[in-house]
Amino acid sequence: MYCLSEKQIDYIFNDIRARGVEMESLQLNLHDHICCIIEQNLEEHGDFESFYQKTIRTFYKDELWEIEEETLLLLTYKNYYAMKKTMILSGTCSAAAMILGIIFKFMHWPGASAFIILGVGTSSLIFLPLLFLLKSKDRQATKDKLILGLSILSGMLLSLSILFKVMHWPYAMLLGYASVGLLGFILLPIYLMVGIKNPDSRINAITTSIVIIMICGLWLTLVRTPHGSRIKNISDTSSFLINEGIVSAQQKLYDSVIKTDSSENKFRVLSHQIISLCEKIKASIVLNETGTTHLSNDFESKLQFISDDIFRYSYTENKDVDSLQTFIKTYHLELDSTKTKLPTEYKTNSEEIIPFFSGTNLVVLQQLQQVQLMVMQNDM
Amino acid sequence: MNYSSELLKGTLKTIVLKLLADNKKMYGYEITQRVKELTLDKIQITEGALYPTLHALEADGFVTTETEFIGKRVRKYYSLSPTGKTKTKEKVSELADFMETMKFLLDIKTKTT
Repeated sequence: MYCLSEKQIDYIFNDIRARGVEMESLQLNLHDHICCIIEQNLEEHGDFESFYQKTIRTFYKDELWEIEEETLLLLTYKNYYAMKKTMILSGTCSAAAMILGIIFKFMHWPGASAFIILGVGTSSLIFLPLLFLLKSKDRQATKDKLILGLSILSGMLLSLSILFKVMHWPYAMLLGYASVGLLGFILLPIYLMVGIKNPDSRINAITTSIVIIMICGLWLTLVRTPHGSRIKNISDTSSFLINEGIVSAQQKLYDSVIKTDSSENKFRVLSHQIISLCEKIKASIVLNETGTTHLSNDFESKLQFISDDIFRYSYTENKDVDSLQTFIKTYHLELDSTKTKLPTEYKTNSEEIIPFFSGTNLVVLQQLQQVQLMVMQNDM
Repeated sequence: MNYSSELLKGTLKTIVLKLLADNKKMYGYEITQRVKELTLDKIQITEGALYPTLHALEADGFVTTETEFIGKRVRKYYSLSPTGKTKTKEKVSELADFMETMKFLLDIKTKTT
């Protein structure tokens, strides 16, 4: 029976750690185990070093940390069946929510976005990660796991980016570019390199690579380029500023024609209230879009643009839009029948009503300008 | 004769649980030695299979551990928890039943002397 010295005991422990076993309890298990074997089987004056190396070699196939990997695998897949069930359930739910969302969207029924958010959210945040965990168990090679991981990650990012885009949430484009970049510049080269080496998977690798290129290409075809966005922003903002010029010229003319004493008139008071409320709502939209209430002609160099984001009522304080609509209703009751009514909605051929003050920021700004100009015209 | 690792994989948990049921507390090396001894070297449990199984049994709550210092070394003793005791009975009778079925399925004649 061999007697291990303290130095040798430390040596074994450090060697186990150096071989990549990180779990403390496993380090202790293996340490005690090897010490027992050496003590039991090495003769009193035997060669510790060579016996130790020979013994530890019997613990693994390629590397000692395989034991830790196997342990973690067993611990992770303890819930294998629950995970599998959750995956199927979340997948079914997301597919059902997606189908309902699309039907609701095309039928213009309320609740479409809730279903779409649920569908895309569940599939990309629950279904896909679980799919990765369960599928990666079957893949032995690290490169196969990497390819699987990268494809699942780009799938998650791509679906989230489309969801963010249609919901007008921030960072949609960033997510989209990240997923396409991941697909095209990281996954594609790795996948092609790994697949093309093996004659069995060569055809598969080539066809899948073509599909990946087409997905990236189609997405990039669908999005507006940075240059395109800039051109659109500049033309939209310029159009808004030109209209602003027209409104303010008309306002000057109006102020000179409409005498101050006429403010006694109840109808004029109403006109005035509508005009200034329109001004207030415009200012709040412009402030929200550009960070300033007064856009100047050098907006391009200051990067202050009116975007085509959807107008949100929450931009305006104290329900300004609601009060404006109430004022317009009262205005119409008082309005002379020879004068033009203010626009409050559009109607389709099938008598469907499209309300005013909904749509993109640019459209709402233009509608407000139209109301202001028409009120002034009616008074003059 | 040494059995294939596939064959042992499905029975290792039961073997470990049964040993712990028969011996109040055991440590890893002791388990491998006892199995070797009881099976006359026919079954040799590898470290790579034993420790992951012990950790999984611990995570399932079937075994509990206590540590003991042996000089500079730390020894982890494993013993059955109350749920582990019930589980052992289940596992052992399941395996016994399975062996009967296998005998029937593979049409193995029990030697009568």
